[in-house]
Amino acid sequence: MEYLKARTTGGREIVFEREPITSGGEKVVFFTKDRTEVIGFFFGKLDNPHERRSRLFRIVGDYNPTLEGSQSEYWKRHFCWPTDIVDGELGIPPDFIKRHHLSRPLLGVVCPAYRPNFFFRDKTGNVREKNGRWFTGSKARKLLPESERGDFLRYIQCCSIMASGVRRLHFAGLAHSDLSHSNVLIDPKHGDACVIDIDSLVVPGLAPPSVLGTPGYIAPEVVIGHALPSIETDLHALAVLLYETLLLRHPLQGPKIHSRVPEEDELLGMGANALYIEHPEDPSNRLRTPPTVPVSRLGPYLESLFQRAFVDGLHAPRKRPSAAEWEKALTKTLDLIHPTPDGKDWFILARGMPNTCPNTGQAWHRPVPIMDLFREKGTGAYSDDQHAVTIWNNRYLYRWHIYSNLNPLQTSRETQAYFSFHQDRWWLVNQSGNDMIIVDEKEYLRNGHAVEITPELKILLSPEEFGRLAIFNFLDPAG
Amino acid sequence: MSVRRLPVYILADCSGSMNGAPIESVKSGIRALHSELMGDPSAVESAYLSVITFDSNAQQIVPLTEITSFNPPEFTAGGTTAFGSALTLLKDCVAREVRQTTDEEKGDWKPLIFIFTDGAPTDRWDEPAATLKRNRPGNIIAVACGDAADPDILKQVTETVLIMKDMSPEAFKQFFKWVSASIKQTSQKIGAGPAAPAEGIALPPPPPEIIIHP
Repeated sequence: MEYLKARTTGGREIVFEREPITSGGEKVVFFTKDRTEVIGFFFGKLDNPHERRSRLFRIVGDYNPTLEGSQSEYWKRHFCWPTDIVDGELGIPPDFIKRHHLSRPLLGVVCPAYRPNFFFRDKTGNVREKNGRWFTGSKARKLLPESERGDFLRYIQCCSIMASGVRRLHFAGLAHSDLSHSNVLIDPKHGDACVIDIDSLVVPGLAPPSVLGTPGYIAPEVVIGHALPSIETDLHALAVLLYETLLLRHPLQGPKIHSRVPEEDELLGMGANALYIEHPEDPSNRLRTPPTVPVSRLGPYLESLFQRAFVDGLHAPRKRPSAAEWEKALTKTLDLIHPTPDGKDWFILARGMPNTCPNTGQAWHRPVPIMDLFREKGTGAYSDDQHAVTIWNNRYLYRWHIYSNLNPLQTSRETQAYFSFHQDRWWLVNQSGNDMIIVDEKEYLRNGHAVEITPELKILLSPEEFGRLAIFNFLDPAG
Repeated sequence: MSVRRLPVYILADCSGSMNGAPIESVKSGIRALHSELMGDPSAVESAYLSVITFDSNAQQIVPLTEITSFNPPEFTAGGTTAFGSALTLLKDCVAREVRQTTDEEKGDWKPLIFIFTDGAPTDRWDEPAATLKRNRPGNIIAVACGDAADPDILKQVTETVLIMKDMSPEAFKQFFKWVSASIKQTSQKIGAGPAAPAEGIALPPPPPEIIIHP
């Protein structure tokens, strides 16, 4: 194979293949010779090449979260962040530029290649990128090997990573502007995800976005033509992405007809007349066959955020939940997950929810313990954290359960305690290395010791500052 | 709720002059197109393919089929160029296979139709062409291949006419790559303003082997 060479603004020489691996809306993309990186060149006429160029420099430089900071390694894994820029055509043959209609002056961007777990071999033997659509489209999903499909727990983990990525962008004031299932990779086999196509980011203070987004993910106000992509419109796209990933359907694609002309119908259905298929009051866009897994089966935190995104905030961008709220709700929802009796899948089980798995129909016939968490508010007073934990045999507790000031991303994953179902009784085993306190008995629960879980049992998970109080109870098997 | 379907029709000239390398290039082009679309989950969800060939007669050799069930067809070249019959058959197939939106059911996207021919029609084509142009059953892209094809005839069918002078296997390969990019783009990105999807489609730039006939 023949290779071409380009020099980056970072001073590196990139040797890349002559034949593209893919071509998107704006760029044609080539593998580097060692295939650890890709280089994408913009083609066609760039609206504002100077702005594009300065935007890329800001993204690779000032706004790059993968360069430093305690979480840079996490962001390197979960963003495909551009690392270098090719600015000008030095050394690139003119016939190559002509053949691919590359924009002049030439502008290229270097990104890391996707990690190996973001590829799969489909049933025809071809290697494919795990773009999110493979997992949410009913036909595409059938082409996935069974082993790649993952279980429900892993989908929540994928979502939590996507939300954290968007939260990080928004924290820096950046909008992705084209979030969609084509621009995230998910690996439900391992609960992993990566946000890609970072180079279209909307950088504050520079010119407006160059793409409107991908149909189905574009916020109604952009479809109508009243707004351009921004952090607020990202929050619409994120909510659609999360809803689709968790429920395998689109939140606005229902049976309601807005026009006899399909293009117009689509514009209205995603724009001015957009209506949630699970709208609590307006049933006109509800699916004719009610879904097996209604949004309520995702648990209280996610159900209420979806309500805010697709009822209150659908046409009122300011009311949409932030990425940080999504991330938190997803993390908390992970604490409501419960294995199915056969141990092969997971479902959400919390106060007021049915005790059957909506997908498999399997039910639990014994009481399921739950734990509500409280945080100290001044001396001796506790306030409800609105954070419940559903308990199953071998469930672990981590530091972010014990202390109210920690979040999972910033904390080590050492087990602090676990639950055990032994001879028909439930036990909490302290492994935190510190004492816990059995409140009503005024006794210590020493490290390595167990206490039987009984209704209304109160345990102070740590007597230290930010240590949480847990109150146990049982969900009635009748649901 | 299933995703709206995107019907794609390919009308291939299989007259005698296509014999040899050109017809083989068309077949391998359709195979490559299919495999390319199988790699795009959005296309897998929405795109449907049909192949109509025309020589002395026109026949729909693959009815409108979803990508996952599509089998790239075998066909040979020979005979004359029943272009008019092909256009009439296309009109009938679209009328029969493409679902219209009703007050109760969502219909399909407007079909994408690719027509390519390498010679002058040998049957009556002007009326079928006029009917198609009037009815606009989809977004039609017509390609005049080689020296003998007359782009002005194709202009009677659609505004979008391309010229592919070179009929080498490489040129066909690039053409089908471009077809696949057009389908993918339709199922993915809106490039221009909010009104873009309602009026025509934004096609990606064609490969250098192909030029746009003004």
